[in-house]
Amino acid sequence: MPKKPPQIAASILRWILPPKDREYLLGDYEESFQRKLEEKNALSASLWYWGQLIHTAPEYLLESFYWRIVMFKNYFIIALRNFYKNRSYSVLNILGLAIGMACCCLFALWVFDELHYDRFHEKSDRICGAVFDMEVEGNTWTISSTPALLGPALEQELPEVVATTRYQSYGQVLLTHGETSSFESGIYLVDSSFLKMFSFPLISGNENTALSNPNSIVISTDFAARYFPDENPLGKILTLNNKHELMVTGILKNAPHNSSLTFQMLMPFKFYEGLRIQQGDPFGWRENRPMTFIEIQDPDLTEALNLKIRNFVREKANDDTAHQFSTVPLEEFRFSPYYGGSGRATYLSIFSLIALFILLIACINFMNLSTARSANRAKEIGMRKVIGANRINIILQFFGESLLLSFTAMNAAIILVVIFLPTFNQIFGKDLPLSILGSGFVPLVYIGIALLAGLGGGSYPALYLSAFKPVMTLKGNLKSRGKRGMMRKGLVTFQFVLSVSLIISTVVIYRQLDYIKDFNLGFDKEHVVYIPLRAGSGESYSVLKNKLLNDSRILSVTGAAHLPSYIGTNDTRAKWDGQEKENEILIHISWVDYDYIKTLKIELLEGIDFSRATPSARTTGFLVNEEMIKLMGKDKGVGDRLEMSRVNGKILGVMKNFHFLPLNYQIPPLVVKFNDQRPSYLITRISAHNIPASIEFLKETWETTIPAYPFEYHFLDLDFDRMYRDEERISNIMKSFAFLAIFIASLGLFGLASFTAEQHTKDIGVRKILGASVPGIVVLLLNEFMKCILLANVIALPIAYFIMVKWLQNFAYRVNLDPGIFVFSCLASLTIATFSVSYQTIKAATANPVDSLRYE
Amino acid sequence: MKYLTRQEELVLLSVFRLKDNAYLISIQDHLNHFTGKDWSISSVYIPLSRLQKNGYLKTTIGEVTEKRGGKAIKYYQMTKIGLKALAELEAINETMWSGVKGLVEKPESS
Repeated sequence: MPKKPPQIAASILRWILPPKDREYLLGDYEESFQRKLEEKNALSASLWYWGQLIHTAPEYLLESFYWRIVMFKNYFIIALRNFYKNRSYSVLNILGLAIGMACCCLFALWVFDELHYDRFHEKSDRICGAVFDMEVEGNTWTISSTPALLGPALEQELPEVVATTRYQSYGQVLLTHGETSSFESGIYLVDSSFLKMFSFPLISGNENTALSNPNSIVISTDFAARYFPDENPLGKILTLNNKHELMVTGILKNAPHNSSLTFQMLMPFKFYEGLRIQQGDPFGWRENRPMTFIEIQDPDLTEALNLKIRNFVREKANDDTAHQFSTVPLEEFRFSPYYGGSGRATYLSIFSLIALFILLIACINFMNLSTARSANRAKEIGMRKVIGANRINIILQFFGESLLLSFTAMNAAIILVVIFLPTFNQIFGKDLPLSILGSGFVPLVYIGIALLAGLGGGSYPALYLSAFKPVMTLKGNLKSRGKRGMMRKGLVTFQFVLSVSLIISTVVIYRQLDYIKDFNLGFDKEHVVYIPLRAGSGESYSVLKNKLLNDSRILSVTGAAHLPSYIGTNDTRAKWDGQEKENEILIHISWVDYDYIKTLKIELLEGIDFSRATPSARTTGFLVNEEMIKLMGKDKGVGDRLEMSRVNGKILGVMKNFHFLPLNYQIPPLVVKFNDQRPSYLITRISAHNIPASIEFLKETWETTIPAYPFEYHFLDLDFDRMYRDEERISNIMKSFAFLAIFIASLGLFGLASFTAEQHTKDIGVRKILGASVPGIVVLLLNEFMKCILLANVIALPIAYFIMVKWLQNFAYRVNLDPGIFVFSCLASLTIATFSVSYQTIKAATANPVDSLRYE
Repeated sequence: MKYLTRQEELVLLSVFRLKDNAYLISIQDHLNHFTGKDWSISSVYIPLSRLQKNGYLKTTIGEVTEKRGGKAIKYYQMTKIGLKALAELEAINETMWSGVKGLVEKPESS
């Protein structure tokens, strides 16, 4: 019985040896082993065998690596040849994928940017904001305004609090330096610790002392350039509201675009505190105004800190029902409901999902086109298998091909992203810099997306094609064509389900937006100009009004505490006769001058407007809207008693309901009182002819009357358009999404159509010879696709309907989801689909049968 | 003709010299004998397989024997290209090496 070489070593060796000569080499090793066995003993022979294994393994591995490179080269060449041979398909594929990827990339950038908000602060993990929940009438409000006393008290009394700063907008102020004077916003009151807590570096000035004097300010480079174009601003004086002189002690570097806190000028909170004390109105614990930011020692202890703050406020405010205080880490501000970010996360995820869907549509194109072409590759696969490729090789080959394609597409996508980034920024109101493309993990995102698309799109073809039986493919009969067709049709249907849903959503959003914009608001907003009377300029209101009314271009003038588009002030305290219980409904209230009704063309249902003829009515009269009458009781009306905001008066007139809140809300009850002293706005209706001249006249009059304040005017109707900017933005985004989705899906359809036409070349020829007409053949070919599109519509309708009903619930006044929308999108998708397949189909149908049958 | 490495050249020459009995082990023995170095199986096999791939060698499958653990033997033979390559090699070597012999001996004699 001859002795065998060690089995373990032999099997390892078998695994290492190059497959083509494996058997012979094993034989060679065995022969040498036997020889050693004869020459020496069994042990040394075995040792030799093991030694050979260890010694030679690297050499073989290197060699097989060499072969892999050779094979790789072969795969690569075959892939390139295939791309080249089917140029149109490859271009369709790459184009579709590139668009889908560019879409994904842009959204990935957006998400990346959103997630990196406020991370640039050195202490970003140790800063948090104090917030609280407030319960009113069963609704919970999330509030970031805190008592002004909170910050300093926390800093003094809690050891774990390192520093605090308050942060409060100072509203709109008038700034003056020499000749330059204008209204500015973005002015914030902060504590002197602000610059040390947050990383907003100064270009010049000392961050430790910059805000320590109550009259010192720190300004942005923008402000520095505007007010001090030719001089060094440090130590210079800016005048605030023509009253306070403030000294510039520092200039801020431009903050990164991804900062939640944005400001143009910082003022010491102490300045404001001083003003309040001067006015005899010091801060209290029940008044919530500034935000409070806290720097803590250990971010892990926030839970305990929250509890402490809660008890602390309860004790200080001496109020058991004190609101539920807690803290929000700086890094979560962006998505925190306390800082108005709750909707952001939703929209972000919805849009990202849609972007992924678009990539999916592009991937499906890829899957469909490669499986459709599989018949052409079948022989190659069969040949490879006969020569010795196993299934894994084929799978890897096709994955490799799809990855090659997807990475090519990725390069195109990056170019698209670079080109379209400005457009994207514009549509989304974002400020993503080009440099973000190369920062941080972003390149990994590209690779990730390309891998995702390549592997996702390549998986089905790879698994499907690699399963071909070589005998079948080489004999030329590929079975299971029906099943394959089903899969492809299913995928096409899925693509169109997505596209049609997007189309329907877009149409609905667009219609809703149109509906809102043309909505009869109950007052006439055309040709109405309003001038904000800021700071002290309100005192000159009546002079201004009289001067304006002397001109024929000015049809009427009035003053009001609110714009008719937004009356936010409200109160529940109101009394009237026959009232059963205390009123709990919020009643909105505003103050207006004469001619309010006339200027805005509000319809007066009964009674009269405030009139100069009956001056007594001015102090005791109310104008109310229909809702208010409904609230008081149907029988109430002109002349009935109403007591509100410390005035016991009676109803003078009833106005038809008009929309003084955005259309997301129902119209609440409204009470309007008379006041011609210092209104916030001067509202005027100007002649429709020669509007620029009227504006010029307004400006001249303003400048001769109130030269101390700069002139500023707005058109009421333009303002309305601005109010629905978010909705408009969503509408634009959806429009581009729907367009891209349908475009990519059509690309795929185009490719499939040309494939189908090519496949049917022969039977079309036969049909034509037997007397089929061209339209008949076109219909025959179209039929296959149209069924898919119709099915897609049937599936998409309920989905889109459900989603849109949900979305419309955000609006109190909304369009009906009438069948027209669905019919439209159905027809649109069918038309687009027909259009994209018709070229290939008609070409095939009109081809000369002689040419198509001559193939054999 | 592609240039051959030294190993490939020696292996090709061995196959040529061994005539009909050129298989891996015999080539290995042959090389061990003439170079005086210990050639491992893999260091013979890799040049062999490259020579075969480049068309200098062809193979025939031989008998199955007990001492080879029931595995077949693979014999290598010269192809026309291989022979031509050898001839070219010799020509090149001869011209390139001419004159070297004297050089090596001179220092010893002086």
